[in-house]
Amino acid sequence: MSTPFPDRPASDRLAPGKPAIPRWKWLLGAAVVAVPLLLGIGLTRDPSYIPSMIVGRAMPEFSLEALSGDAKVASEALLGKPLVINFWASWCVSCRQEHPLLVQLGDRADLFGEFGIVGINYRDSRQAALGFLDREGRFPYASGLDTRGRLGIDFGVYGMPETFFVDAAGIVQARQVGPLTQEAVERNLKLIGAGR
Amino acid sequence: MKRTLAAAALAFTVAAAPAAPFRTEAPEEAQVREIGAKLRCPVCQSENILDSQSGTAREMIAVLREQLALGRSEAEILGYFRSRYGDYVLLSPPASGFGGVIWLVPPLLLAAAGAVYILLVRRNAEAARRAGQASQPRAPLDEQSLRRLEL
Repeated sequence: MSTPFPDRPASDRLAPGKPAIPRWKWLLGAAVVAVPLLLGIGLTRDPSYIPSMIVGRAMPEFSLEALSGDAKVASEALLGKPLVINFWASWCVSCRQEHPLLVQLGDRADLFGEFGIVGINYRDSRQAALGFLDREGRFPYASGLDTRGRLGIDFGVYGMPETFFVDAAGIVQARQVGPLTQEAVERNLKLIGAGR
Repeated sequence: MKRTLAAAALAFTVAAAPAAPFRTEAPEEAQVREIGAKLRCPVCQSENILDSQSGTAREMIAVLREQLALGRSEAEILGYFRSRYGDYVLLSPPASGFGGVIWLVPPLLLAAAGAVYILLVRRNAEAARRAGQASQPRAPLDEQSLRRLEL
């Protein structure tokens, strides 16, 4: 049998060893699928989320003026058992959402003593903070004033509310960005050895 | 009256102008701006801490000034913020670790595109050369072929 198109280059002819669809077309097709897929996955991620640097490290020390005007709220006095540190502010809308859960958590800490809990009133005024607690209900635990947000920088805080879970050795084990949920509380308390 | 007032005001302005000296900037302010421009505001995502109006950014500038006053170096100060907010706080990613990949990808893509371009040009040139050969005049069709093609 003679070759059907003698004037065409040999590379254009179908040879038995050559696939019908050349490799570069497969590669191009794969890229056409992969690029939008990767971009799509990127869209589902929250661009404002900042991974915590403090998880796995020692909790920063602090000694803050108390919201109540009583003794200072100091990290020294809180160490020795698992600790929950909640950053909150009167101007923070989603803080209202987690408020009842925090009050409940404070009562539980009081009753069972399996962990300590402290609030950090972040970039707020005492007056506004007390007004907020009058409306929403008092925390059964002390809050320290971080009026300028300096301690917030030490903790790498970027949004309100944020909650840190510190184990008895003073190592931060978890951070929750945004309002707490019952499920998040239980999961993170277990991480610091205070779960049930 | 109006004129006299205006003239007086003008005279006063002219006289007062050289009396008010230009306020000179503290020498470390240039450094505050230089380092501040490299730090990203954690609250507002794509602004540096100098441009940002947020309280967090202002407090970060206050920290920056304090640390400069303590004689800390730029690397130390950037390290201070990095240990709290991670690489996120740097507006240009570091050239080591995963950040290095980000810096490497554009030149690699450019090189790959160049390679593909050269390959295509070569292939086209080859095809053109072949086509040139193919269009060389050939012997006219013989009787038998003509009849077969029913021309």
